[in-house]
Amino acid sequence: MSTDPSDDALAERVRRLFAEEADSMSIDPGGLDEIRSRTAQRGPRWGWGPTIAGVAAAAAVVVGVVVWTGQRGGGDVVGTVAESPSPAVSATASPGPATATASPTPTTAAEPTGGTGQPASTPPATVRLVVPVYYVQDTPRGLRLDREFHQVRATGAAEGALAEMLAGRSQDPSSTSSWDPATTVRSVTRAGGRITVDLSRHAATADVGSEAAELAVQQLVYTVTAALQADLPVQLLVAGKPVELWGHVSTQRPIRRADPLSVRKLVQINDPAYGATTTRTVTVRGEAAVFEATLPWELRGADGAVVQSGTATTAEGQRFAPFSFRLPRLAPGTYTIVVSEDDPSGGEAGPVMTEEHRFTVR
Amino acid sequence: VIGAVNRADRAVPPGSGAGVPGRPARSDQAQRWSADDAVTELYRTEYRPLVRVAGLILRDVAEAEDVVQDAFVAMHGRWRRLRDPDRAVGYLRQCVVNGCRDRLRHAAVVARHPVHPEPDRASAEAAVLADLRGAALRQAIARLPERQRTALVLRFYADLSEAQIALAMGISAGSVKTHASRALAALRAATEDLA
Repeated sequence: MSTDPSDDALAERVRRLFAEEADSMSIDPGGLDEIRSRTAQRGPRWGWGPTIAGVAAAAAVVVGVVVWTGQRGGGDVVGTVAESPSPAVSATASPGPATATASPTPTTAAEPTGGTGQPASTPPATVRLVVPVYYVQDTPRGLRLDREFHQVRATGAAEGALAEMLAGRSQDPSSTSSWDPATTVRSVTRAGGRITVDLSRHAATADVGSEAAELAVQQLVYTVTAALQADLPVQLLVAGKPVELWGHVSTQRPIRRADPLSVRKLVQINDPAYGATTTRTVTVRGEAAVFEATLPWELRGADGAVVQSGTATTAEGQRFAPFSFRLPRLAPGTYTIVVSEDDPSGGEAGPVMTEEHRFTVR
Repeated sequence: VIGAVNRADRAVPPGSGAGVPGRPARSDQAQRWSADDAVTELYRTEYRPLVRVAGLILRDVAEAEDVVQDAFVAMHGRWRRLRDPDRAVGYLRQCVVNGCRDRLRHAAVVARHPVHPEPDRASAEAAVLADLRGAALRQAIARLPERQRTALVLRFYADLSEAQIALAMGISAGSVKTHASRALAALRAATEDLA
């Protein structure tokens, strides 16, 4: 690749470093079962049916193997799986006490994200993480999911995000959650190409209608898949068993994320977070799926008067794409940033979806 | 990921069968493999090398496993058209490179949100790596643009030829050269005062 001898020496160092790093990777031995459990759902059947599920369950890998989840929590799941076959997974393949293969670790079902390398006798350590949490908002187009980022202390990103979601303490006062706050997370495991979430019996006691019930389940599916950064189907259990939740949603089969265009708010502000305190220079960032990629915005002062307005653009129209724009240098005080869908019909198509975040400049 | 790998049906250069060098040639009986056989056989020889390649590009083993598993699932669905282990390996490699690219692009979007406080504890993996020698070089590699790092990993870890790298990355051989020489120049600049 090069004739310069110093490049050869450098190339040799790079070679050695790569080899060293590659050797130090501990690769989970359950990969083949993961792959089989996914190919078995779409292609020719494997001849040995039930054993697959058994093997996959035995090789259950815990969410704890996922690293850097906190840093990555700022985004959301990348949809890298090409097809979403309807999963025909046997409900009997419940992952037992799972173990991380990287090192001997506590055999609690939900191992902490940062827990690898801990002696087996210590309880799961908690770490401070930033996790994505979805809540439900009432919008002009019905109930929709809105995402917030919360700092939590938990054994892992999935456990932390779910506990936060169940507790229902949203930053935005217009966000709600139908889940009974008494509900606790019994375990979260990732195995056999899916995520299994086991909730305490309180999960069954919420009182919700059918639209809200479907969305509450999607709220959980979006939250746990975002926390784990894995677009996998979610098997939801209550006290260890699949149930008919609130008389509306069956959890007999794993549930996938529904189309974001039909369940998420189409405009989502990430920064500044709702209720955040900022410096005088503020860059507004978020994601939106809007017509022709244009987003009108308004900055309102404490009295509701418009201080400044403009139009931002996303990278791409009609699908979720990031946007960002910088506000003029602000005087200390309380503001509300309002970002809306563009309305090419001039109001004839009905009210547009908006996202508002209040924040304080110090 | 999958949409971007239609080039897989193109011929793969000779001798490109392995994620690592030295894999023995496969016999014609592979022609009769079912898709499931292909997964089992190729998993045995290619899975771990590919996870290591993806791990070096992504710097995250769990993510690397996900990317390689996605690649095997895609290969399973395409086996009837691939039919040949060497072509299948070329296809897996393309899926892995594309999968890594998608994930890093997404991570780049996420990284632009520094307002969110960092967790107070580095990952176990990062801690281990920091203890190893060559921290400066490692950091310099980590800071390379994704295309440059991918070219380096395929060249210096997977030992692929320029033509194989071009195919896996979906770019010309000339671009491979450019990426690799820019990468080495950046690494030299970043590490020369520490030599």
